[in-house]
Amino acid sequence: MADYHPLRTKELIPSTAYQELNKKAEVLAKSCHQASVPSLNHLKLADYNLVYEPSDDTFLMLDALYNEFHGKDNKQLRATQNILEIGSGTGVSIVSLGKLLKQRGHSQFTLYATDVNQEAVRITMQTALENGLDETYIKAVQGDLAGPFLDCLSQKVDVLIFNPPYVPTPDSEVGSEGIEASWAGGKDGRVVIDRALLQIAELLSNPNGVAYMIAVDDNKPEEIANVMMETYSMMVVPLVRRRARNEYLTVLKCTWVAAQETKSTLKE
Amino acid sequence: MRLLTHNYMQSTVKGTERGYPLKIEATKIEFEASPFDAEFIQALLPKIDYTTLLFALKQISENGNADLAQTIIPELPESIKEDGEGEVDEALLKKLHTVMFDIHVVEGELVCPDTGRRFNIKMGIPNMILHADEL
Repeated sequence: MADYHPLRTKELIPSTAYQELNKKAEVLAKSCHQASVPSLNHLKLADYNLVYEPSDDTFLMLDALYNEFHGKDNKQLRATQNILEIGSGTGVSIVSLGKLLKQRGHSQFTLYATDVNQEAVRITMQTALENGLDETYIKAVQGDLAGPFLDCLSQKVDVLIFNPPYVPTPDSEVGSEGIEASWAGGKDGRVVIDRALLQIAELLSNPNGVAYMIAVDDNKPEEIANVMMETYSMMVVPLVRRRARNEYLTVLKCTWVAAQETKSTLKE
Repeated sequence: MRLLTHNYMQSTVKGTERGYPLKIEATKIEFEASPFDAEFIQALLPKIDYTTLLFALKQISENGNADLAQTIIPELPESIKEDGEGEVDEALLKKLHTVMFDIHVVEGELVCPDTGRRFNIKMGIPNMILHADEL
């Protein structure tokens, strides 16, 4: 109970360099195409008691994915073979990427999805079906983070998508298998994120694997970036950033340092 | 749970040497035909573990599902033969499609070959969530 922090943590203020990256991400979020949301006609209002209803964070992720992939050439798209979404919820994020790849004529990819919530797994598969990705494309199981795919996908994931439970809550609220699992993030909203970071480093294909993960400022994204750089030589930068109600949402992009073509760094 | 999904799954319980392939104890199986795409199956073949697929098929055909097995489940050869251009005969591709996509294990259990840890399958969804002490 002593872990609960009702007030925003003030002690960690992002460095000037990181704030610059944030500003760029905010600009990109304003100018990028607003991606369409895959059809959820198969769901009723009552279903949103069972699974996380797409919200500002979901839409930001959809915009980020569209922005990243719609401009890729055919060779780059064909190199996207294994896509894993952790905590797929309604499945809209992974399905939107699958649809985009399919529209571009790319079909040799495999979609993996996990969720701790059994209803979410069921709904993810329905969403794929509803959106023309018949179930041949998506392997969805109930699991924690990468679940049973962790070993067979080690160093093979080309795209990893994760909208984590990022809300700071008491640690005791973490670890349910119901809808609370979609937001309860424990201290600083980092308990599940931190476990996932370890797996991300294990899973991403080298050198071109990329992970997209949502964070709020309470999660101390710059600290995440520093830890990933020091521990794994992985670069984490804000990609798109948008204000939603009383907080900022950021899609963080995580890549291996070896694959960096851009000049942006976190050094002051 | 399809047999294709089973092909990629293993137990990641701490201390497990190799939790693959999982044994299947199916108590309820359903069969649902789906669209066949020869090119897709052909491209999928290098990505699956064929031995595991045969193993999974054998598991399904036992455990009291012998009648379903005889009527619907096709027999697969011990290994896949390709012709001169590396292509597989379409009839075999159709059988592979049926085995990988059309057989659904709706209820049952997956069993780790190493530790015997059982994972439940309910409404076609395998629950691979580990307890706190297994992480």
